[in-house]
Amino acid sequence: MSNPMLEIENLHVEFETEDESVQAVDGISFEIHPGEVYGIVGESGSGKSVTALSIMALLDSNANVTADRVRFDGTDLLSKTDSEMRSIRGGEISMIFQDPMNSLNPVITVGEQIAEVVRHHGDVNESTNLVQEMRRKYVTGTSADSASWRRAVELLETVGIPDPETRAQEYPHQLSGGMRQRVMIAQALAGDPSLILADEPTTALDVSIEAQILNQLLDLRDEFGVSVLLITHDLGVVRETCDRVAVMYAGELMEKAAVEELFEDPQHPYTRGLMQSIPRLTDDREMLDVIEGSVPNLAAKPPGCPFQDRCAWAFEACTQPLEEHEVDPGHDVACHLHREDIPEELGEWNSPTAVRTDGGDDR
Amino acid sequence: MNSLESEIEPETGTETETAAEPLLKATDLQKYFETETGLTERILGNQQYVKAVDGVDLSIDRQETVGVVGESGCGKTTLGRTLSKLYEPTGGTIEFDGEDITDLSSKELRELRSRIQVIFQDPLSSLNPRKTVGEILGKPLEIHDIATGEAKRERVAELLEEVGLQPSHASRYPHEFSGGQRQRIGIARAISIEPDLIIADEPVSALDVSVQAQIINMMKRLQRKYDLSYVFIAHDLSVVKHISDRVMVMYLGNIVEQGPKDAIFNNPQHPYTRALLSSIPTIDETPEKRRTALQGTPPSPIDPPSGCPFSTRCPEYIGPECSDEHPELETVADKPGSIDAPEDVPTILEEYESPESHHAACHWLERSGDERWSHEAPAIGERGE
Amino acid sequence: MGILANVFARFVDTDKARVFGIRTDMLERLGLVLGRDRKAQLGVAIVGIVGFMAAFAPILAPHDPMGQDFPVLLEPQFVGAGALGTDSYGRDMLSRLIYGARISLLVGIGAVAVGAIIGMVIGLVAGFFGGLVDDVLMRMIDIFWAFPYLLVAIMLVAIFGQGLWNVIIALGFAYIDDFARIIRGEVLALREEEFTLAARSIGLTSREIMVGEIFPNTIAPLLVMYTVLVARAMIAEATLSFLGLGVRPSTPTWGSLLGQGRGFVTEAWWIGILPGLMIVITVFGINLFGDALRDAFDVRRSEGG
Repeated sequence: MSNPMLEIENLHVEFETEDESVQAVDGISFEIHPGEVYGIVGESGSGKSVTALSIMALLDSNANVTADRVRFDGTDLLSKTDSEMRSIRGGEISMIFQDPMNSLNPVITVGEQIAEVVRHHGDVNESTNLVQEMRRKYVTGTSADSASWRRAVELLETVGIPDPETRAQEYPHQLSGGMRQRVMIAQALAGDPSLILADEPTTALDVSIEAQILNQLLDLRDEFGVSVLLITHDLGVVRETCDRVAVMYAGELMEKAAVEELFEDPQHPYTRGLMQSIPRLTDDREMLDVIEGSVPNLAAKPPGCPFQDRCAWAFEACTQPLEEHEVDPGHDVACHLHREDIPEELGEWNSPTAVRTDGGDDR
Repeated sequence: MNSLESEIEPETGTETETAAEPLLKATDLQKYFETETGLTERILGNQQYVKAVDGVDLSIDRQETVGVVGESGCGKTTLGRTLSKLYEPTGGTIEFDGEDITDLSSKELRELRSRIQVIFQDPLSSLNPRKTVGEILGKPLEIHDIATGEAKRERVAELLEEVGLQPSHASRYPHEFSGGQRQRIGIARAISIEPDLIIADEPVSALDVSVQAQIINMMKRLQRKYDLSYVFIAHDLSVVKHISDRVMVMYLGNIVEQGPKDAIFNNPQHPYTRALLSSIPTIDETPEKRRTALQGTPPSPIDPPSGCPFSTRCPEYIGPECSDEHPELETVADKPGSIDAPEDVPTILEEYESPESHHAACHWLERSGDERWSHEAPAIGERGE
Repeated sequence: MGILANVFARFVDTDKARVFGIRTDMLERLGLVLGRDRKAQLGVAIVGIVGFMAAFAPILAPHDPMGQDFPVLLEPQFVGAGALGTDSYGRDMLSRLIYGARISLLVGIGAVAVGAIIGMVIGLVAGFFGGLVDDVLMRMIDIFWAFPYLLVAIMLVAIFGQGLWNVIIALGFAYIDDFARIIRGEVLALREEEFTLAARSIGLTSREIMVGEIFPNTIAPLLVMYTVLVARAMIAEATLSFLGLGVRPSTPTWGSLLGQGRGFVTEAWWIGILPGLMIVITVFGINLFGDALRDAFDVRRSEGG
C-alpha cells in the first residue's frame, strides 16, 4: 500500500500536576492510510481525545508529549516550530469537535468563520492582517464580494446545507445542532486538508441527525480522498463508518484490526467485554454481560496490562509489560493470552462459549 | 418479568389491562411553557407557548417498565417531570393508585413524593456538591419520618451496599466519585423511601458503555426486589428495548406509537418509529447500505404543524390530510394499512401480528396496505401547508 | 501541617458534625489549606496579630491612648516617648495604633455583616422566586446602587448622628447591593441545576431548598465578597473619619489618625504613614485569609477529605 498519511509510533503523553504525573497516553502506535477512515474507540479517560490533541500540538504546556515518530505525509510533526504547526492546523490537518456550539464563535457569522480559514490556508490572495480581519468580522459583517466568502458558501453547499447564501450570514445560535456540526465540517474542509481529526463528532446529536452527519463525512472522503481519524465511544458508529479501528483502554491500545475482523472475531477480553455489554436491538438477554469494576486510576496504573483487574482471564503474566501479538495479518492484540505459554486451564478462553461473567452488576 | 414469554407470541395484554387498575394514569396531559417575552408583548397578549407535552394519554401498570423514546426536544423529559409532579400540568389529569393527583396541597404532595421518585440524567448536577453522600441519602429518610439518628445511618449504609458502594462512602462528596458511582448514588436516593414508581430520565446516557450495562442490570435487579414500576426515558432504542415491557415513541409533544415492546420493534407502523429504528448504528453486521437518514429537523414546538406533527419530515407523506388532520392513536390490529416495515428495520419480523394494545397515530392505518407499499411521498418542499 | 486540624478536632465533639453551625470537616479542610498554602498562613498571621491587638489593646498599649504629654509633642521615636513617637497632643502613637485596630476592625467586619445579611436575604429570595419578586427587589437594589455609597453613608450619619454603631449601619447599607447581586446571580444558576429539582422530588419545601440546599453553595463567593468588602469598609471608615464624619475625633481609629497626620506630613511623617501602613497591611491580610477560607469551603477545589 502507499505511504501512510499519518504514522504514530510509541506516543506518550504525560500530564504533570502539582503532586502527581498522569500517563494519559502510554506508548501507542498506529498509522492511517490515504482515504481511510480510522477509528479509535474507547471509554472516557482512555486517552483517545488526548491522542488527537497531541497530534495537533494543541495540549497545554503541562503536557509532555514524546514519541519515536509522529509523521504526517512523510514529514516529522514533532520537530515543527509553533508557527509551522499553525499553518498545518486548519490547513493540511483539521479538527472537528464534539460540541459545535462551544467551538464556533457565537458573535461571528458562520460564513465569515469559514472564510477566515480559507484566507489563511487557501490561495485567494486576500489580506489576513489584523485590521482587515477585524473590519470584515465586526464592521462589514460579510465580505460577500470576496473569493474567500464565495468559497465559504460553496463549502456550506458541499456539506449539504440548504440555501447556503442565506445560512452563511447567520450566527451559530440560529442554526440547529446538526447544521452547526455541518458548519464545523465545512470549516474543517476550508483549508483543503488531507487529514481530518473528528473527536466524537456526533455524540451531541440525535440518531437521525447522526446518520446524516456520518454519511456526509463518508461522502467527503469518497469525493476528496481525505483521511479521517474518527474518535468515538460508540461501537455502532465505528462499525458503520470506519475501515480500520483501534480499541483504546487506559491510555494503551488493546486491539487493532480491520473493522469487519474486529467485530466478527474480537481477540482481546476487553473488546469482547465491551461488545457483550451493549444491549442490541436483536438480542433478548434478560441481563447484560458486564465488565466488572471501573477504569484504573491513570496516576497509579498497575504494572503490565491496565485491564488485568477487571479481566476474567487474568493470570500471573498479566503484570508483565504488554507486547503486541499479530493474530492475523493486520490484526494486532496486546494481551498475554496470545502468548505460547499460557496456563492450561485458560486454554479454553478463546472458545466461542467461554463466558466468565456472572451477569450481575458489579460491586 | 418478560423473560418467559416468547418473542413471537404477542402479549395478550388484555387481562392486565382489565383486571387491575393501573398504578398511574394520565389523560390528555398537557404541559406548556411560556416563551421569554418582553413586558409589552405580555401586555398586548402576544404570549407564545412551547407545547412541550401536547395531549398525552398513558397508563403504567404495577411492576411494569414503560420506555419512552424520542429525540431531543420531543418533550420526553417534560413528560417525566410532569408525571412526577415536579412540573404542574397545564391541562389534563393524572391519577395515581386510583386517586387524582392533578391538584394537591403541599402536604399531599409531600406524601406523594414518597411514592413517586425520579432518577436524573446528569448524576453530577443532580447531587448537591456541598452535601456528603450520607446527607444526600439521609435527607429523604428524615423528611418522610422513616429513620433518624443511628437508624438513619444504618439505613444509609444498607442503601450504599444495595447499589454496590461501600458504607464508608457516606462521608464523601459527589465530586469524589466516578460517573457510574454517582448514578448509583442517585438510584440509592430514589429507592431510599421505597417508592412504587420511579421515573428515570436518561439514567445511563451520560455513562460509559461498560458502566451502562452495570447500571441497567442493577435497575432490573432492584425492580424485582422492591416491586418497582419504571418509566424509562431514553433516546437509545436498544437500551429501551432491553429494559422495557411497553414502549412509547414520542415526537413533538405527542405519542405517535405505543404498544408492547415486541409489537413496536417487530412490527413498527409509524413512519417515525421506522425511521428511528433504521437509523440506529448497529454492531451486529456491517450495513450493506448506509442508514436511511431522516431529512430535516423537527419543527418548533411553539408553532407545531396543524395536522400530523411528523408531516413536515415524513418519508411516507400521503397528501393534504397529513398536513391538515391530526391523526389519533388507534389500534394497529386488523387495520388495512398496517404492513410490514421495510427491510432496513433490523428487528422486523414478517409474520408478527400486533395485539389490540399496539397503537399508532398515522393516516396510513385507514388506507390500503398495497397503496402504502407502492406510495412515493412528494418531496418536502412540495407539500401543502 | 495537620496541627491546626488537630487543634480544631480537640475543641470539637467529633460525633456531632457541626460546631457553631460549621461543619467539622470544613474546619479540617481549613486546616489542610493552612498547612500547605504559604499565602494563607501569612493572611492568618496578619489577621491574627491585628485581632490580638484589638482584643488585648488595654494590656498591650504602653500608654493611655488619650493621655496627653505636652513636653513631647510631635516627637519621633526613641525620644523618651513611645517607640513610635507622639502626635500633636503628645499622645503615644503606638498606643493609639493599637487601640485604633479595635474600631477599624469592628467597623470593617460589622458594616459588611450588616450588608451581607440584608443583601443575602434579598438576593436569595429574588433569585429563587424570580418573576415579579425578582423584578421588584432588584429594581429597589438598582435605585440604591444609583447613589454613591459614600454619599449614602454621609447622609445616614448626618441624619442619625455620629457614633460607632451609626457608622457601622450607615456603611453596611452601602454594601447591600453588592451582596444581593452576587447571591442572586449564584442562585439563578444553582436553581437550574438538577439537584434543586431532585430536592423537590424527595419532598422538600421551597424554603427548605432555599436555605438547606442552595444557600450552602453560595458560601464560597459570599466569603470572597466579604473579605474584599471588609477591606473596602475599613478604608471607607477612614474616609468618613478623615472627613470628620466618623466616630468621635478623639477616639483613635486608623482613619482618624490618618486624617490627623495630614497636617504634619512634613514635620512628623509617622503620624500619617503609620496608620496608613496598618490599613494596607490589614486589608492585604484579610484578602489572603478570604482566599484561604474560600479554598477550604469549596469542596470541589480542595481535595482534602
